[in-house]
Amino acid sequence: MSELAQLVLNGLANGAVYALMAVGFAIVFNATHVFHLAHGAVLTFAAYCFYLLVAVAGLNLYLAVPATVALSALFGCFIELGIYAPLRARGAGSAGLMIASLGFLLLCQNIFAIVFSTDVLTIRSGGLAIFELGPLTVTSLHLADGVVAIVVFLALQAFLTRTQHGRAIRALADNPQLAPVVGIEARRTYVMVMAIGSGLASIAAVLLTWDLGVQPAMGFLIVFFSAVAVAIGGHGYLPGALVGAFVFGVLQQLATWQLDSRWQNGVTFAAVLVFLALRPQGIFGARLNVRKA
Amino acid sequence: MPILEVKSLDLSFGGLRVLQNVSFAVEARTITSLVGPNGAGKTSVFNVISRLLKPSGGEVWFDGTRLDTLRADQVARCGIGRMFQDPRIFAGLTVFENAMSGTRLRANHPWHALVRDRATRREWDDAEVRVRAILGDLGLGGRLDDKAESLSFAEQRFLSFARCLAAEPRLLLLDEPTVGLDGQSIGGLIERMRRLVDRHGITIILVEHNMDVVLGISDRVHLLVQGEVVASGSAGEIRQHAKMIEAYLGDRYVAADP
Amino acid sequence: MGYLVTLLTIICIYTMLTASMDLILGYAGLFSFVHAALCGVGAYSAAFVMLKLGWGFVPSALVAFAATALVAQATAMITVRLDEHYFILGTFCVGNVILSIFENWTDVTNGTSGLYGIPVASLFGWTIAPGAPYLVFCVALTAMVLAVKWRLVSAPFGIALQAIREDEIVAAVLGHHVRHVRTVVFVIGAAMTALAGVLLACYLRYLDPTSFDFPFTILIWAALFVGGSVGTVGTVVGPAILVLFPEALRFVGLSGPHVANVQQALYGILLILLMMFRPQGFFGHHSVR
Repeated sequence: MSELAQLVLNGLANGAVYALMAVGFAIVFNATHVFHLAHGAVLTFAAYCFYLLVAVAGLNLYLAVPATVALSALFGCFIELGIYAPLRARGAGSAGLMIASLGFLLLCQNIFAIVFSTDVLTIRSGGLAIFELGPLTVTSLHLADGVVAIVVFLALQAFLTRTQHGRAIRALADNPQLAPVVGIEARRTYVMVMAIGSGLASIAAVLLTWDLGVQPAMGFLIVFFSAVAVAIGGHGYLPGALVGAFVFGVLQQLATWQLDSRWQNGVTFAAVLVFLALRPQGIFGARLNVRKA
Repeated sequence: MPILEVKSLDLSFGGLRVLQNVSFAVEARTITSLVGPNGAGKTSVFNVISRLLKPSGGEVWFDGTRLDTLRADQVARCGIGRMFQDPRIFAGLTVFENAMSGTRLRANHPWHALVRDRATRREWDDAEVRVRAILGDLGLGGRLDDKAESLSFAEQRFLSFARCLAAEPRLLLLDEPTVGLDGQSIGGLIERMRRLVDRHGITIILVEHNMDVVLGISDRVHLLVQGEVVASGSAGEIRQHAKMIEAYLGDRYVAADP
Repeated sequence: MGYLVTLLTIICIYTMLTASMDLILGYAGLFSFVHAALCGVGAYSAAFVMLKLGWGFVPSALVAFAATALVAQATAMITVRLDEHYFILGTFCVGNVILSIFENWTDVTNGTSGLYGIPVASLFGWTIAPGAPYLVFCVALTAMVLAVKWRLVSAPFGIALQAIREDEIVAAVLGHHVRHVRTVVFVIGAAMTALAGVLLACYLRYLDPTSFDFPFTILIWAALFVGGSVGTVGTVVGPAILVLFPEALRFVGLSGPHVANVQQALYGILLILLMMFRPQGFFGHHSVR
């Protein structure tokens, strides 16, 4: 029983990190309608930035983290301005944008592999501080994941509901055709959306790098996890991405309960498929998950 | 015996009541027009009949078959054709392929696409002849191999009409077919509609804003305002009540004759 | 000479994979991410009956068809009704499940150690020698697959597929059962992929799970987009370019530990450039939009 509870706790902690990625992905997907697989490239970029700043340049966390976030936001803007905007100008539709995004993810992953090798590069050498909470073992990272996620999402919510820019982003997500008419400059909003999404990814990258280290393929895996989280939650609904990410994180951990852990991947995704078979519209019933025909 | 019966349709979208208790009947071999201001729900009625939308209440009956329990493609196979407000032609396909996409052939099925027995081949050839005739009659005979996206708006309109006709429908739902067409094209369309009804026994329901067209061609007119059928009558009756129409729709819609 | 035969055999098999991808992605508009995994299902199931039961090529291929069609049918039932982006995710999930089975169902696949000693292809008792005879065999089967595909799409069935791709709502209103047609074409494409898998198994005489992972699917996508989707010429030219180009690199002297990464990075750039400047590829009749 306590093993189950520990798995759930681990799953929630991982889920918090996935949630940061998933919400970033969802914000970009909802507002710009790009299936932004390059989000994974941003994650990996941020992870290597953080690694270099902390393990190589020796900066302390209070400098390294904001620097990482800022650099990642810039990286996201570069992707929008250098790839997505020119593609749109040439009449590319959602498929073309997605494929280019995938291409960029592939490019970055392999550049990182060439420059940094495929080894996992870690930052911390020792273990994590732990303390016991009844039968559960809680690590400092668990706490960090939880606290960071809560703080970031509260801030994000405030931004989206209370600021003019945030409302512009929501308007764009709800009605892409209407936004330019109402006077919101769509292109500038796209850049802002990419910056925010990339910022969220970079925070996830910091937590992941501190926990497990960085390797070139991490972006590919985790961006697909995020997209799965969005599908589970239901397309078009931001809190859905959050919930979906936690569900996925817990599912991943529960897949090892009473089962050989080498089957973890297979069991996790089989469970996701069962869920999509029974409830294709996601937890919150998004109309957009399912085709109309 | 009406060929189409719409009974007490209700439709809501997230709290917005789009259709309320809409009922009307359409006799075979007639032209019926649905008129009303924008947002009155006219296209929604079509969407419910085509089964692109599920009504929250009510029934649709076509020639003894209940439609609102079927899928969209099953409704089409009952013999109902639909033209949308935008031409919505298949941009990447040629004019000929667009029109052929409306036909229902054995060769649409992969087995018969591979194993082309004589019956399949004959059906396919007959369909090709028929489709070429339809396209020729609509003035597209010379553009068969052009990509549909290269056509002008009016030509695309006619192509979507051809695509509808290729399926040999018994009931045609035409959503604002004259929008964006010049006077000559409109006249051509009207003449063809009349011919379809008189010579081929097709029934047509029209959503139209052009009152000249409506009063000139309709056997029956229904006025929809804010999701409810407010008035129904023959073209003659509605013509006399032109003032009623003016009152509801504004003096944009002045009747054809004083 | 033997080197040329090797290259041509690989190009042949990749052509079969690209042609089936064209049917699913080019004509039907389904961005399948499970293509390589389906090829693996065909390969492993055929290899299993060849090794453990000693069956010849034709019955093994039939087993491969059956196994892959079953998996494809199940996949389609879950994913075809999902919106286009979530279709990709659904197939990604299936791919992961299949790869997990390849890695862990060691009784059948021997897992990550790899499945060795797959016999040479034998057709009704006659073995097809590796090298030139096998190349001829592959060319014959590939030509057959291309012919089947061409016959399918030249009929109104091809028009129905493309109509559904262009505007599925209008297609439904014209009387096409969209979900059914998509499922059928997905299964047909999967069967072709299975055949490629069988050919691969008999060619390599060795299988391991990493041969059928996601980068392989992306390679097929790249081959399709380079050659051009919706057409036959493109499905041959694309793989030829993608197989010959790395060989050309090697010729020029580019080698070393990072060759695979450089290749993949170039595929990434290729995808971006294609979408930017030539979305219809070299010989395609359809632009990816």
